[in-house]
Amino acid sequence: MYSILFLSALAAYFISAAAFIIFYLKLNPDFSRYGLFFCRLGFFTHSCGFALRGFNAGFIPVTNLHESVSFFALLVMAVFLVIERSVCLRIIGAFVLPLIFLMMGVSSLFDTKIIPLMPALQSYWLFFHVLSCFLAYACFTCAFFLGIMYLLQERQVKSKHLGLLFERLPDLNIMDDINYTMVLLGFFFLTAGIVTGSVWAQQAWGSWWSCDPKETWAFITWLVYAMYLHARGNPGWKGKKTAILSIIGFFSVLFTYFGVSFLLSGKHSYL
Amino acid sequence: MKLTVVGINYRSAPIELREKLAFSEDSITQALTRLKQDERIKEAVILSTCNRVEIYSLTTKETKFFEVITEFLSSFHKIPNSEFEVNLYKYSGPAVIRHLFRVISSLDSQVLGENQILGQVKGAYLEAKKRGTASRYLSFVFEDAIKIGKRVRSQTEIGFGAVSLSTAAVQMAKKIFGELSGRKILVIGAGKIGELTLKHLHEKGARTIFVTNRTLEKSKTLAKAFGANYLEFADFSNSLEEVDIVISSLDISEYVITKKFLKEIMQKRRQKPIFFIDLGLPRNIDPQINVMDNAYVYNLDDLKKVKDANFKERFQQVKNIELIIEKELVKTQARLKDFFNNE
Repeated sequence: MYSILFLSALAAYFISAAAFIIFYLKLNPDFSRYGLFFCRLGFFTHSCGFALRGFNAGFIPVTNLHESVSFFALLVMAVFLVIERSVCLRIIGAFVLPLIFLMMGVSSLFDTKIIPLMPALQSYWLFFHVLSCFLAYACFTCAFFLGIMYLLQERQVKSKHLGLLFERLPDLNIMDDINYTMVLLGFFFLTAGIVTGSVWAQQAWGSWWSCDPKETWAFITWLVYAMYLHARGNPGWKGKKTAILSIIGFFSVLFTYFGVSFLLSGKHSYL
Repeated sequence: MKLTVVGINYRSAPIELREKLAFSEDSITQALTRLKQDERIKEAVILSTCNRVEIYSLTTKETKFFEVITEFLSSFHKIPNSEFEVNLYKYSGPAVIRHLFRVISSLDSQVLGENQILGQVKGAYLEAKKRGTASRYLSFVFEDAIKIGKRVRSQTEIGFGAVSLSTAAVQMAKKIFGELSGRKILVIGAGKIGELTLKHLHEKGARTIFVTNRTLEKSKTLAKAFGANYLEFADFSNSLEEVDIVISSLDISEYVITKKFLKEIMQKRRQKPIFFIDLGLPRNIDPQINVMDNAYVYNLDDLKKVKDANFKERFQQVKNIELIIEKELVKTQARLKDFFNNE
């Protein structure tokens, strides 16, 4: 049952990504409606699959690579749907949905067996810690896409060679605003994730901070976004520079998430 | 039975001739009544706008259909055939439906994407229906055409794209700021394109406007027209800290705003984006400003580029619409055939 739900979510995301890309190329609003319909459908079956798996396992299923990548995709989807709902920028779908589909594809490559929870993870902190961190990642992912879109559009406007992208991308002001909002939210969640992780570490490992690579990189990521927020406030950076910072921040997120797990070993190695 | 259209438009005839052949609202009613009395003509719709006069008709097969309509035009308007015959275009059969689809999609209009023609065709059809000259056949064709007119507009966004320098400037402003309502504009100097741009921005909701000029009178009139604040030329630089859009059209030989000067201003503005529309020749605004973050400079040449890019995009749109029309034409013809074969 779980794999049926997972695969149907995968299929729905694929159709949605295709529809958004056609919408992007043809600017035909019908396709943005199909895209949105299928990504909601995918989100629904995906959530059902996640809930079912959690129910079967008896814990929040975010403890192996298959689960965590799928959960990451689910949260990026949720953030995208919230953005779409509040500012109606469906064109972002043409960027985000292919990534969601890709993540789901990657997730399906890993072993999907439910592995019993190891003792170190048996704690209610698991839920709060992982949820905050992943919500932060999801917000930073959306900020990343908005940053890219901002830079592309800024180039168009500055160079005065108006190509395909010009009409299709939203205006600079709104992309800058949402980019900022996403970083702000992401920063809040990341802080919460680090704090909950630290409290949990004190209980489980006996120390607040043990300079485990995951912790170090989470802190580096936190610093990048702290710099973003500071620069925005004080010298009043806006637009291009902050967009670039949000892109750099995302690479730090990627490394914290995947790089640390694959390249470095540490206490977070079960993921 | 044969479907035909006979007409003239702004491409085929000068305005003087179109005026002579045009139908007023009253005369359309009369004309339709007269067409109805003619036994050779089964159905008819008259479309008369300032750009075109067209008579769509369904005649019996034996009739010399083009001559019937030409004669009718001549006798109704009391002008000899020879005066307008060369300016007429005539189509029969499926070409009529294609022509109507093109007209209603605004492909045949002076301004691509204009909405007026859709209403005008609809009006012409309803009038003919009311007078009993559009019955089953033409109703079929016109109702299909109206559907396509609507579809083409919703699917291809043909209204899109600026076609003049001032609308190109507004289009760029929208891409930079998004919502324009409440934006502050500074106008330095007064010129025709500048005034038009200001007018468009004002229509889009831009509100706080400062006007300044070296010669007082012109600016004062402009300021009055838009309910704007008037600034002395010497003081205008103070307002740069708060305005979003600057329209400049001074006749001056050096830059009124230099990069170095703006750098200080940008710090005071806390990097809030600013858009310069430089309509001066020679240029008023240092083009190097465009290199700075959050500052954009468009001069006359740049705006012209935007305008041309829009034309290209429009060309693509026209191709898309033509595709839709050809597809729908096949469908409409098939349905017409079914419909009238089952009689």
